Amino acid sequence: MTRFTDHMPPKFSFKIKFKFKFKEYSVIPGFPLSFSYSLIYLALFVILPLFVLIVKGSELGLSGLLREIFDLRTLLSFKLSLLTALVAALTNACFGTIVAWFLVRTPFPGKKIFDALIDLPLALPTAVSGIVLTVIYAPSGVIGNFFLKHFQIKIAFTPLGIIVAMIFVGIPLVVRTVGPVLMSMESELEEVALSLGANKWQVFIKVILPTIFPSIITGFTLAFARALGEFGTIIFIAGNMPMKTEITALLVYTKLEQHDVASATAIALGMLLLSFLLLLLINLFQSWTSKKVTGV
Amino acid sequence: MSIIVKNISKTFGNFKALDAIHFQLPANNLIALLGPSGCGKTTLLRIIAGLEQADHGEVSFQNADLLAFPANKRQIGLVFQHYALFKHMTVFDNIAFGLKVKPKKYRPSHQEISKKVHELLKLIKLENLADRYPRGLSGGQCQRVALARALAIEPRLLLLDEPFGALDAKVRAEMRRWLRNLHDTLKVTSIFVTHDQEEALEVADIIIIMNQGRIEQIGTPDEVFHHPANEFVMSFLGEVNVFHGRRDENHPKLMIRPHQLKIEHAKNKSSLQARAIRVITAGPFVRVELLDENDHNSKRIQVQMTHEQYRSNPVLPNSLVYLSPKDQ
Repeated sequence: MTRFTDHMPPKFSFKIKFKFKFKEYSVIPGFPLSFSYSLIYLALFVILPLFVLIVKGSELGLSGLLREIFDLRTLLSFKLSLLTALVAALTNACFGTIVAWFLVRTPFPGKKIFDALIDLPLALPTAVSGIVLTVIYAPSGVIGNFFLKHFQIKIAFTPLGIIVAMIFVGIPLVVRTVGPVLMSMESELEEVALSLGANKWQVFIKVILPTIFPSIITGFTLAFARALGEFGTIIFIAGNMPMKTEITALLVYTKLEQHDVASATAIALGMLLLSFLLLLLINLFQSWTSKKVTGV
Repeated sequence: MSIIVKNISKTFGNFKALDAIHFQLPANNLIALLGPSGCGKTTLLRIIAGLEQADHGEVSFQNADLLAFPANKRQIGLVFQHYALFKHMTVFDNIAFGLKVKPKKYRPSHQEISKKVHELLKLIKLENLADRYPRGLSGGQCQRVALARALAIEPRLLLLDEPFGALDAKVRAEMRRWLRNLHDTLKVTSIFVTHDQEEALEVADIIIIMNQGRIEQIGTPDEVFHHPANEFVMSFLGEVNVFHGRRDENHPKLMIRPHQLKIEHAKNKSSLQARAIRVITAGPFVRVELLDENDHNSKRIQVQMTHEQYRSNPVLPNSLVYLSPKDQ
C-alpha cells in the first residue's frame, strides 16, 4: 500500500509556476484547427490592416504625427465624435433595455414584425438611412419642424442630428444583447422578491437590474463602438461644418479626397488609440460587474 | 379551523388544472400537498402565494381573505425547488432582503436587521458563511438560506414547492428531518408540495392527496396510509399488489401491500400458487418477487417480510409456494 504522502510534492519547490500552457487534453475536438484558423483570420482582417495604418501613419515622424493629431480641427472632431457617440450609446443603453424588456415580457399581436423591425438599422444601406433621417429631422421635416416650432431646437445639421443617426444604428445592438439575458432570467427570482414584500420598483432595481446589468454594458459598448465607426448615416444629417459638426471619420475622408494620405492616417491612428483605450476601459468595467453577478 | 380553501378552480386554456378544491385545516401544521406531476398541486400553491389567479374560489387564513391582497402584501414565505437565491447578493443580504425592502416606516434599523439575520443564520447553522455568495454553497446550504430568507419576514404562512427535489438522496433525507425539527420549534403553518410519497408520509402532519385537479383524500399520514379512501390513494402511497378476482363478483379487485402477504409451503383453502423469481435479502427487509402460477402474464407479485420471518421460513428462487393475506 502506498502512503498518501508519497505522492505529495516537496514542500519547497523553485519551479516557475506561471509557465503559459494551452489547455490540457480535452475530448472536445478541433483545437489545433480552430486555433490556427482564428489566428489567420484575425491577422488577415484585423491585425494586418491595423499594422498598415500604423506604418502609414508613422511616415510623418513623431512630430508630424503629433502635429496632425493636436491640430485644433482634429481635436474638435475627436471631441465631437466621442461625445456624440457616448450620448447616443447611453441613450440606447437606457431605451434599448426598455424595448428589449417590452419585447421579451409582453405578448402582443404583430410581435414578429416588431421584432424584425429592430434589426432593420443593421441591414439598411447607411446612405438610405442617412437620407431618410435627414428628411424627417431637417427643419422642413415632420419631427424637425415640430421641434423647431415648439422648442426652438434644430436637430439636423447640428450635433443633435449626429446623435440621432448614431442612436438609429445602435438600437439593435442593445436590444439583441439584453433581450436574451432577460428571457433566460428565472421568473422565480422575481416571484420570491415579491413574496418577501418588495414592490415592483424594488424588484426591478434590486433583482432584475443587477442581473441584466453586464449585458446592458455589453450592449452599450457595441453601440458606442458602432457609433464611433459610423460614417454613411451621419454625413447626410450632420451638416459637416469644420470645427462644428465634422466627425473624425469625415475629416479622414476629406483628407483622403485631398490626397493627403499621411495626415488622414495620422488622424485615424489618433482616433484608433482613443477608441481602443475607451473600449478597453469599458470592457474591464464590464467583466468586473459580470463577475459580481455571475461569479465567472 | 384556520386555513380555508373554498371552491378554488383554475383552467389553463382547455386544461382544468384545479377543479373545485375545498378544504379547511387547523393552523400550525405542516401540510403536504401530494400528487403526481400535473395534478395541480403547484398551481394551488401558486394561487395561495398570489403568483397565479384563481378563476373563482376563496382562500382565507386566520379569517383574513388572502386573495384580496397582492403577492407582496400577503406576508407569505416562499421556497422554490431551485432555491431562487439572488446570485449577486451574499448569504447575509439574501436573508436580509425581505427586511430591507420594507417601507421606511416599518423597516428595522441596521442593527436590528443584522441581529435578526444572525439569529436566522444560527438557526440554519450557517453562521460562518454570511459573506459567501450563493455560488459557493452546496445545494442543501442554498435551500437552508432560501428558507431563512423566507422566515426573515416572519411569514404567516410558509409555502415550499418541491423543496428537496433538487437535492441528492442523502442530503434530502437529512433536510427532511431538519425541516420537521424546525417546524416543531417554530410552528409556522407550512404547506409543501411534493410528488414523493415517502417524503410526505415522513414529514407532514396532514397530507392532502391530489390527482387530476381534485382532492382524493385528506388525513394524517397514518390515516391515508392505513385507510386509503380509494384505489388511487392506495396505489400512490406505496407498492401494492393487485389481484383480479374471478370467482367473487362483489370483489372484482383485491389490492394488498407487499408486507400484508405471507408465503407458505403448504396449500390452504384461500391461498394462491406462485413461483418465487427473485429473493432480495439486502436491506432492512427481505423482498421476494413471485409470479402467479395460473396467470403468467400478470405483473410480478411483491412480498416483503422481516429477516427473522425469512430465516424461519426461507424461500428458494424458482420454488413453488402458496400466498395468502396475513391475518390482520
